[in-house]
Amino acid sequence: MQRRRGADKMASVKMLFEQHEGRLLRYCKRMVSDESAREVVQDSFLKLWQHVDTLEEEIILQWLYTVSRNRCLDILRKNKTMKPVNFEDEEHIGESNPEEDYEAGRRKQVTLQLIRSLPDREQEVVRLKFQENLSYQQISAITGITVNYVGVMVHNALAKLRLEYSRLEKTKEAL
Amino acid sequence: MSREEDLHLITAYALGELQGSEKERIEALIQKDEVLQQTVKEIRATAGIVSADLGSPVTGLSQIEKARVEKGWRDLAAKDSRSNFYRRTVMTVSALAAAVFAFMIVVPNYEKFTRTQTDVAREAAPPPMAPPQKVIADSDRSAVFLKMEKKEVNAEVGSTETYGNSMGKDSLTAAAPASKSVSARTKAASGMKLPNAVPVSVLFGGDGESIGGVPDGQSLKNELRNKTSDFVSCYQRTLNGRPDTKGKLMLRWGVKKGRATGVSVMSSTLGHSVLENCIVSVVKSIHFDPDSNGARVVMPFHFMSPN
Repeated sequence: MQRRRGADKMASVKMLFEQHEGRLLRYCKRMVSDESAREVVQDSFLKLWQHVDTLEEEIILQWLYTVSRNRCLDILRKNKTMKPVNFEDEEHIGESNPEEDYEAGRRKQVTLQLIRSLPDREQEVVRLKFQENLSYQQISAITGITVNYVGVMVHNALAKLRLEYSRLEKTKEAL
Repeated sequence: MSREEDLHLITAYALGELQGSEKERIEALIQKDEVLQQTVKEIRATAGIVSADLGSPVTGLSQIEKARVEKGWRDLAAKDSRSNFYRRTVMTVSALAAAVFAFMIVVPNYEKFTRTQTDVAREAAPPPMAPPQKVIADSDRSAVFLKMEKKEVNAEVGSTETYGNSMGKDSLTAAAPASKSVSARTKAASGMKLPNAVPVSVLFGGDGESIGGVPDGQSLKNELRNKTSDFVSCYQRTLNGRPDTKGKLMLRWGVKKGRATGVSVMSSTLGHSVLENCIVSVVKSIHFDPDSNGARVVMPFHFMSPN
């Protein structure tokens, strides 16, 4: 019985690992170095083993993000220097896709530039919303920001982006 | 709600973040307003673009790192299994120890633990008198002896026969109550100390006795004997409060229509009005034989206890 429970647990944790380790690693790499991010993700999933029995299924994802985020913040506090954000992945995509047309590439640059120009907290919220596809509720639980304020941040970011996109359209028409 | 707040909520609605009544309210607003409908479309389009632009392919952990995590899980699972075994062992041993301990405590004191409220109340209550088991009547001396129902209690309290015979008077004698005697053996076995069982005597007749107005006073005396337990009970209750009470009470009464009339205390050395009144009440409660009607009685009562 005990062995069977252990096997079930192993299977479910493994499934969660396969589903979320990549996303979690991407999220952590925005805050700490690649090496540290990898360690954080591994530690988070080892920690998950100890808590998975007591966690509700619907909060496991936000639990993973929260634990990883806290660990990353610990590393940042310890090092006392903010790691320069690595945008190579995002930049590389545009360049490595030969079929992507010029307009789409230009728009993507605008998107990334604008998001990078946002304050750290706002940037994190926007990324959690549109990159990690999390709900306001989950973002609130992970970051400690109220649901209402998460909504305001997302709204403001989208408003700025809409404005930038409309400017881009006008430029294109002018040309 | 201001326009700006509405806009935040419209963004939340467009992104599928609203639920319940708030969702319905915003939905109603949007349906009435074409500009808002257009705004929702634009928000959704922008969100789609941002998601696509940020949706970089995910590069996860390396195979070595994944293997390391899996090994960590296996180690933790083995640790869980070991700690479960230890926990189960400790719990089993603890439960067994508790059971043995409880057995050792409960069994020797089984009687004590199973005593009910009724048992406690009965033991705390004033002792009821044992009913007379055997009456030995002497026509001249009218001696009455009350024997204890339980022999083992008699053995504890001592014989009660000596009073009546030695005094040469009618005697009403009782000893420890039967209820105490029932549990005497058990208590002795459990080491509990028995309360002292006091045999007492209430004697009537003798010096100063006078029954006039009727040819034979024997019937009247028989009625008095029938009230033996009541006289003794009065005395027992008095002894509970004042153990040294003893003496002589001289009563006078007449008999009319089978009842005692004009019952009064002629003299008393008891110094205990409650006991005197109790004896008077018992006499008043007697239903005398019609043969006793017209009798004029003067009767001494002697109260004696080993104390």
